[in-house]
Amino acid sequence: MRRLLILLVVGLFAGCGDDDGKTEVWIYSSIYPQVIERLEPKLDAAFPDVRFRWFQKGSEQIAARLNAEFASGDVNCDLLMTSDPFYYAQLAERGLLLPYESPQAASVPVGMRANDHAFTTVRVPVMVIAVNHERFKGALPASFRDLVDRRFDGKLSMGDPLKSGTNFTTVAALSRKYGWDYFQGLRKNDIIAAGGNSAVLHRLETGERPVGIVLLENLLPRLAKGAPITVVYPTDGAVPVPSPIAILKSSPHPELARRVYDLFFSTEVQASIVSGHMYSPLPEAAPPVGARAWKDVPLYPWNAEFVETVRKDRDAIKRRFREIMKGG
Amino acid sequence: MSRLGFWVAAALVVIVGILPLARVAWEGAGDGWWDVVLDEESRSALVATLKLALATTALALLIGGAFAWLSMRTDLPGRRVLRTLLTVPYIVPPYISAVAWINLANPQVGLLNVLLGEGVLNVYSFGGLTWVLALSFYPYVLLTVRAALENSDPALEDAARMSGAGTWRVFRDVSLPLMRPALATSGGLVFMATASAYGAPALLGAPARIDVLSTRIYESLTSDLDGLRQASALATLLFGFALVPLLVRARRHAVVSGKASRPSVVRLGRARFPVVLGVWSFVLIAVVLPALAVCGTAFFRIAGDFSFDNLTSENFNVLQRREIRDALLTSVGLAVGAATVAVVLGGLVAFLAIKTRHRGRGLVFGLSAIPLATPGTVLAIGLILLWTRPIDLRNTVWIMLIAYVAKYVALAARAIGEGLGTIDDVLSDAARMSGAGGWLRLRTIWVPLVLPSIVAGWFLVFMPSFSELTMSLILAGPGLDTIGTRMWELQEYEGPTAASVLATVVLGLVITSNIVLRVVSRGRYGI
Amino acid sequence: MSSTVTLSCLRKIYDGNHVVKGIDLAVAGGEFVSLLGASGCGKTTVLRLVAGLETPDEGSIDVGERCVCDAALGTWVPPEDRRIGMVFQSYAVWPHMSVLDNVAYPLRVRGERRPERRARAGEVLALVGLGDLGARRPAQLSGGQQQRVALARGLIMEPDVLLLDEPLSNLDAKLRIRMRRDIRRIQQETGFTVIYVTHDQDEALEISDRLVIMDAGEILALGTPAEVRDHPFLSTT
Ligand SMILES: Nc1ncnc2c1ncn2[C@@H]1O[C@H](COP(=O)(O)OP(=O)(O)OP(=O)(O)O)[C@@H](O)[C@H]1O
Ligand SMILES: [Mg+2]
Repeated sequence: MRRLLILLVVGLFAGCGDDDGKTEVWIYSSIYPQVIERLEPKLDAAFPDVRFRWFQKGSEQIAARLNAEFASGDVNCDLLMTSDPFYYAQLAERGLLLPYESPQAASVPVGMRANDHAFTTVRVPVMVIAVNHERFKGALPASFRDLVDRRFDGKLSMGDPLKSGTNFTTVAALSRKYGWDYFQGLRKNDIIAAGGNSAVLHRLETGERPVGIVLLENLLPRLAKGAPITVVYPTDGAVPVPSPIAILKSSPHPELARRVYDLFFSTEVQASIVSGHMYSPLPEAAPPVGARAWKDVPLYPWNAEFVETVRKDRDAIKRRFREIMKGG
Repeated sequence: MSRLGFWVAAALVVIVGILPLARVAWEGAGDGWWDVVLDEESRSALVATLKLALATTALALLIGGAFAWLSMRTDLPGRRVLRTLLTVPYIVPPYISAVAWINLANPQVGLLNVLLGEGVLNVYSFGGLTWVLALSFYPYVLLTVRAALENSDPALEDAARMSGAGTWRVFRDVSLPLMRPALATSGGLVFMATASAYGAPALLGAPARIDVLSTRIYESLTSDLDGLRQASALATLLFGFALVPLLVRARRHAVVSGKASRPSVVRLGRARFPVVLGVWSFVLIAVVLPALAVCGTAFFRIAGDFSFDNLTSENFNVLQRREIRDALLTSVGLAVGAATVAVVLGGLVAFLAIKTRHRGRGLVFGLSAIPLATPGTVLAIGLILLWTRPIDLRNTVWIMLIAYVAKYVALAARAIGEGLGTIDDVLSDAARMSGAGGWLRLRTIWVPLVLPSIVAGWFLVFMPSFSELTMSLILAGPGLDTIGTRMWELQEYEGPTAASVLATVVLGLVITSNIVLRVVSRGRYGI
Repeated sequence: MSSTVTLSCLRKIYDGNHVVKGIDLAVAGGEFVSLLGASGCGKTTVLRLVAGLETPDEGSIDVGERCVCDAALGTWVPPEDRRIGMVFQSYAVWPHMSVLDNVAYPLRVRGERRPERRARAGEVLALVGLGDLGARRPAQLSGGQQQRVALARGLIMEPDVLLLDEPLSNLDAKLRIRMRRDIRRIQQETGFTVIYVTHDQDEALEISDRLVIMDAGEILALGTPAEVRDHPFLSTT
């Protein structure tokens, strides 16, 4: 009982913030907790007068929370770093982001920046195909297109685009590239579209569904552990999910936020991000350990126009996908 | 005292559980409401939710009711061990047990299917989803009914026996009607909890192509900036689910009269052997196997590879991380706090509803259950909307405590209510006639008499608070991560084996403390 | 230590069913009055009204100088403040307390110290013949023993008014005679007022100052044992 009380009291004070005169900067982020752990000392060294507070959860939970904070009219967040580019596009359209052209981010490819600099890609997860080669003995797929082949009947899984942002991006890209017939084909192969990328990985490892569409960053650490997985970089273009960073317009200390923003594009911090198994948007950065060089990855062509269209069609895309998956 | 108590209880129930939901509903009010509600997709989700909730309730009542009676009122061998074993499915967090059932019964490589033949069992089906949910929720029934039975007079069953009734008839004609109020109440809890459940429907429903309201709500809340409107309209449909159980009314019988009786049991007689066989097969399949699946996963490097050299204990290294140990402490503190507050508040609400004639008592009792029928995401969003201005509780432990209490207080209220319902008022009258005032009667008569129900209610709130996920993922600010959020994090970022370690630890921790509690209290307390 | 009890025009209706139909009764301080009547005629209800466990639909009750209850004025003193004790027809012993704790409870409420109240409870238990069963739980007692626990709990209180609802119904004939004499003796020693419900005419005739014969919620006859001894109700049953 006493420990509980202490906990509660401590909690209360934690909520009020410690009174050491430091400015608080809130970062809502969905990147790996270990990456944050590595970033923290760097940030603290660069900003000794700032206390960084991380709300670290999945992109979806962060969106839910942020939406509620917008509705309540009091937003805590200074910097936002999640994986769903279309959400940023929507925020930018509503004028909720503070445009900033970071000199550090100058070399980020144009397609991965918002036209008005409302947000910039700070890391690039990519969606690839993975095969558990112990459980699937047929010929490996070479492309996303191949997955509609009947030899993958009952073998496929992917994340649920209705619940996972990265998987939504994939569906948006592939449906534009191949039309909805492509997903009819996947449906015919009885694809399981459920959960997030970790669920796909789980099905892959257990052999329940030995072929999956999944983020490379989920695969790399498992490969290092010796999982019997072959990564296929689809020849028709792996789908990048350029994950932005942005400053909220409501941030009480924009100047500080800009400096933090810059820091995220520094070589050092980018290296930390890459060590979290994601590609850096800076062309000169090294690829994650165990992954192909960036220039050797065939990619779905990403550009601002694509982001804009999908932002508008979001509901229709989800609805169509749901219909197809529900249909027999 | 009753007046003051009533207003305090009413105010707390409204502030803790109803205001945040009202705040969400307000966001969704307006022209768009009908569009969302009348939408074809919403309607099919509503129907699916209703069907799923009904089926799950029926199955949970069957399992929980049968086991409550068998383990409390019959000479079933091993019923003490059984009492603890049967609560294990409640200790395993629902999202973990859903994964365990995927491992056991997916059509391709599910372990049970490997034994029975490919595709015999399919967890991705309406039946599979019902089964997994019913296993998570039957403890509501088990514990509520059990606590109510603990008090009741075995002479009632003996009398039926002496009138020539066999085991089955004793059960049907006497025990079942006596259990009916507790069954109705706990069935209502299962119904509401199923309607708002997210984890299992998300994991199993998508491959089964079953869409329910809670998953639809999650989808709109977690992407689009305008999703709140839609989610809020859908959530108002779920509030209706909280009203359904109120329609089911069962007459309560006070079975603890002023005459004390000796505990005795119904002899199963000829039915003994088949019953024992049935009970232990159920325990094996529904309790032991999934628990093994969870714990087993924790010892493998790669999930699904059961070879000897894949065995490892290195997954347990995560326990050395400070943030994991912090999360354990946070969760223990929060769950103890939430369970205690819920028992006090829920007990008060139940007492007012069942033992007083105060106007509006039924309303408060009913209102206290609405958050249970609401998906955690919605409640969490409501709390953020409410507790931002003028009082900012975001990123404090308070908002999480409020969330847990709001969501689960109905479990305590209903369990305690059932206990109270079995106790004849004359016992309190006798204390009055000895001169005892309200608080003294509460302390010396009511509380000790309903203690079994209070313990059950406490545990019913403690467990889901301990491993709560949905709300914590939205509410837990820096430094306030819980076992649930850490388990989710491990699952997302490091794969299923690491997450199983935490589930195993939770299981071990709870079972051990339960055993210790039982031994120390000589069997009086514990589950 | 003794109070008068005055019932005026007392009426109780359960769901349209008139159970007590306008009873008037004045019990003097220190008097021992018995209620007799067929099963279901409203005896328990009258006691519960006096105790304050029920509220009358009409009429008033005075205990001593004090009006404890008046339906017209809305006066109502809660039972625990009426200084009235009661022994229940259904015993109402608490299953979660030992026999001794059951009996000592009224003293505990009054705030007496533990050693004192235990000693006193032991004495009263001895009086009802349960001297050596104090440590047991009620579930380990026979029906008649439980009834005596209930009686002991009523006696230990020494209230202004004691209401006894068939306190000896479950005892054997011999014990019954002994117990009723003990009750009478204690009452005369301490001087509290007693309203006593019984189905046993001999019992009522022996120990009462006055008898009340009830039928269907009304008072049929009222008088000293000598006066009512020949009442048709008594001779026919
Ligand atoms: N709570 C109640 N609701 C409805 N009717 C009641 C209630 N309590 C008692 N009654 C009815 O009131 C009448 C009087 O009941 P009461 O208990 O006073 O009888 P009694 O004279 O004490 O009988 P007995 O000698 O059998 O104890 C009975 O007809 C009974 O059915
Ligand atoms: Mg009676």
